[in-house]
Amino acid sequence: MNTVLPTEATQLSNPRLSFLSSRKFRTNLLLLLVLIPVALVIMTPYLWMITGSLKHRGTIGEPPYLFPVTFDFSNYLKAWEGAPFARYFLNTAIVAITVVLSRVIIGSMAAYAFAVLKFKGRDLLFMLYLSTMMIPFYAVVIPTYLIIKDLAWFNSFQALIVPRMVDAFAILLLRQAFIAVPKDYLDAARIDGASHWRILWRIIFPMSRPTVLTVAIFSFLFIWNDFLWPLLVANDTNMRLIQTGLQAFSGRYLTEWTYWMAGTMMATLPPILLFLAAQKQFISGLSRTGLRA
Amino acid sequence: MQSSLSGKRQWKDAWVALLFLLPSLVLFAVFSFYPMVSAIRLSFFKWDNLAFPPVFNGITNYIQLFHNDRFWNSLRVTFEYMLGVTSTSIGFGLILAVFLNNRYLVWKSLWRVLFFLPTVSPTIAAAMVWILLFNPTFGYVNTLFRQIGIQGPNWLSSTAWALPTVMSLGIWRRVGFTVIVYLAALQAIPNEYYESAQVDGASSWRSFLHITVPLVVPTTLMLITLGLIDSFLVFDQVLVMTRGGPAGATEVIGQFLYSDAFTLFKMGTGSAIAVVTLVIIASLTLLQWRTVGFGRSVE
Amino acid sequence: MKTKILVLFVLVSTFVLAACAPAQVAQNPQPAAPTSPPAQPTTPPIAVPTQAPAPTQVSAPVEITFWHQYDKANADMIQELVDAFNQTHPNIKVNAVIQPSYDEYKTLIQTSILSGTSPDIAAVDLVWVPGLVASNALEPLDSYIQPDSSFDLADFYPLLAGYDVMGGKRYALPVSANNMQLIWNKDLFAKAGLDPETPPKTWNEMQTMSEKCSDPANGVIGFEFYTQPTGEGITWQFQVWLWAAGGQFLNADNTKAAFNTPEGLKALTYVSNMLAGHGSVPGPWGAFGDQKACMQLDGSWLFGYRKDAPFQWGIAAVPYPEGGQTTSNIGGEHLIMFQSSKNKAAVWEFMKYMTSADVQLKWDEATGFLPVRKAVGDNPEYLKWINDTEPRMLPFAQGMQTAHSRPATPLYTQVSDAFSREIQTAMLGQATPQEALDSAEKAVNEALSQ
Repeated sequence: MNTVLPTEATQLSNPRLSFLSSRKFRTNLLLLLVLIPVALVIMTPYLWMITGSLKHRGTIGEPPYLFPVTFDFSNYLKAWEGAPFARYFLNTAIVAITVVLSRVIIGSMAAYAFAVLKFKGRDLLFMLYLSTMMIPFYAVVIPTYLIIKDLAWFNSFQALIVPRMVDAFAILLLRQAFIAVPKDYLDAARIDGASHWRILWRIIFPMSRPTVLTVAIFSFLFIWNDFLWPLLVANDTNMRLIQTGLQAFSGRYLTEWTYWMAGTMMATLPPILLFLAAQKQFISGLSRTGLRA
Repeated sequence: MQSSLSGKRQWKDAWVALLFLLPSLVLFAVFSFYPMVSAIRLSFFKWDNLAFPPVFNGITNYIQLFHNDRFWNSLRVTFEYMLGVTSTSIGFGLILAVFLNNRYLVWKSLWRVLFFLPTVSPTIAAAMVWILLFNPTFGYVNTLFRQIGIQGPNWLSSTAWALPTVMSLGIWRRVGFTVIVYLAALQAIPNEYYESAQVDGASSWRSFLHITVPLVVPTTLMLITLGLIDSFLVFDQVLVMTRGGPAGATEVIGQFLYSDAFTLFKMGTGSAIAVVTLVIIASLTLLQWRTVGFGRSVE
Repeated sequence: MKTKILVLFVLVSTFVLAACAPAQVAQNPQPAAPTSPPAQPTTPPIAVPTQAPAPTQVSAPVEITFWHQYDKANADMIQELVDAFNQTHPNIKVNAVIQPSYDEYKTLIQTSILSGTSPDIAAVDLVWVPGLVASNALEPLDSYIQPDSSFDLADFYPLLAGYDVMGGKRYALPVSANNMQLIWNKDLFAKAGLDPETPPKTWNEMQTMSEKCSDPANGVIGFEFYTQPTGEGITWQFQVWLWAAGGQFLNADNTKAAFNTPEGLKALTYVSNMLAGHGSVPGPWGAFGDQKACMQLDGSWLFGYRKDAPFQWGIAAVPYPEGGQTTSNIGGEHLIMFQSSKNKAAVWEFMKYMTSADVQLKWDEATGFLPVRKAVGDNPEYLKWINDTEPRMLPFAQGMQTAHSRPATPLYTQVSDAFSREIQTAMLGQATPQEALDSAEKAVNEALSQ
């Protein structure tokens, strides 16, 4: 999808002198005149956050605002001590990894059934699955809360994980990827006597790697950003996830703004690092899933 | 294809399918369908403070809800939020995507990454930053205003500005997503269209209006429906930034549901609100499926 | 000066001691008719020892969970006290959990009751106690207090301890007390050309000084009112102005709103008028700490975090309308034991420890909370501490004499929520004070009729 740029660029690499008057230069000048201010506006919250997290206590309202001059790392130390952030990270990691795995595994199994297997009522059942996408979480939050109550699952990993273990959208994406796998591969495997289980994990799954990664990344982000559900089912400090932990932290240090910014930095950094590490996958996955399915 | 075997195969496939579908089927049944039915049922009961047993009271919850100013206020606020965030992020998204799609532009992937960062930033953390950025006294925004001699508004403390301020966070987090989706759509437009327009002497503005905009209509439709659905469910940032205040100015439906069900423990009326959200989201989703397909965004 | 303060303090103490609890609170610390005195005479061996509890079963310590919502340095102090307890009580391990904001804490306490995940013990805002009692979640303390000769209930100030008795049973014990007074930033006063040593006494002075001290160009407001978020914060602060104007909040038996009167109108008009740009503007709470507000009302807990403020500050009595009298709002946290606790003996041990004279003295000196018992209030060491290190505590101590307390009704949370929602509209200029009071009266009466 982004193969246009390099070829165009090589064609246009002219001698230096003509460059200044070249169309490329002029266009870039105009574009950058718009894009740089826009990027600055978008980046301002980050710059303010980083700068604020490094200021001395009680000076958040003093200049400089966007570029740190002081480097008071004690805010981080204070934030780290002020709330069990290590525990929040660990909990979030446990929940996120479990949910990612289950959405991929359970989702792939379901997707395989819908994509490859033939059985009565398949399309109807698939529509039923898809219809869960029409149920907003608000609509079911009260009864789900009551289920957790009946199961006595409050303050447990089960409560945070189990209701999140399947996602119809993941199944939809995986099914599309599985359908796209050429039939010949499946037929060949079947003639060799491979079981469906084997075909799924040895042939179809590896061939759908980009979609699997997309599902995994989005599930991870979903858990990292999850708020209302963990807020309701975990009231023990040691069972909080990063977002609810951060909120609790912000209550404890209300008006201690430099600690706040250190805390938000710690909560923001991991998903951003993940994004930077896997940004190609991210962006191509997003362009694909956002599009008509 | 193998017709002689197909009967037996189908039968065998059905068993395998059942096994493969079992985990997801159970989970959907317990955590989607049962709760949905249960929410509808509960909405016909009066059930305060979880004191057993809930008392059946017909459609009283709905009557009370429809006579409750807070409910209508929360619907109005939610729709304003939905429209504001969706339209603004689509407008900016398209323009930025066109810029990013310019074949001469340098550092393309850098721009894309920068614009997309907010989408992956956690909402609670962003909301905490927003609280400070828009603090009327020491916040950066009003500091900037003061430097050019303007006394900025009280943002989150003002009934007029609180909702736009909450919206600005939603827009900030969403623009990157619309840019990426539009970029994919723009890259699918054959270059020849623009080239022939150029030959005809059309300005870039005219080719934007007459080539780009019509050709991304399906993408726009999808972004509209997705945007409406996502922004209808806004809650986290409202709870952290304003708790629905001041004076109800930012009380979106999610916040209303939360305070009714989980701070006042009126599970019956809370369920009635839940059913309303179900009806609205289900209609929007159906609308989306009928017009543009099954897409969904990350938020 | 010293003797004056000392005399005054004794005065205060005796007053507080003598003052009857407000009419609506059943004032009956010693339940005369013990309806449930379980095993009182038979089991003294474990409860009686005056030192540490019987160190017989040191095996596995019982763990109890303690929720509170003290913030910042005050939370550090709580942890210190808990650590000390855990060290001296090898058979008990207390896990202190800090809960987030006031509103969230209320929700969490309620959800924990409904979901069966309550802590063993919690320190909660005293106004929550009646509501929690009504939800049948609390363990009456009488059967622990009575047989325990090492515990002196009579030492607690009745004004505070009287709040916790309902239907002849005691459900809580005060662990911290406070009220609000005026805190002003001397640096900002000086910058505005005001005498940094002269705080306002009356409403007119307060408004004039606020207007003078405002500096919109630098984002400085004169007086910081609590205008959001909706909820008890607004109610609790506004009640002070309401009472100062001579108004009432609810009627005597807590069945009807009583604030929609000329006095109530006077208070809300005063506050709304200032908020309309005459010395104040609405804003999120916290400008004072950022040196962007010259004055605010704050509770005595402020000593916990203002001690090392990067500016000079002083404390003065809450300003009163011309011809009126200063007043304040009594707040504080009380310790409650949950019925669901499986280790009630250990909880009681910890409760006793937290309310003991030694711990209270340490706690009050570290945080600025006011004494809940005479053993601290009359303690020469405490008075010496005020004289020598924190004379700014004086207005708070004095303030107890004239302070009111919020009505003890199980519906308080709903009332406060409805009240704050409506008067907020006047504070933000969305409605006239009279309109706001009318709709607040309607909303409060509706909440009370449930």
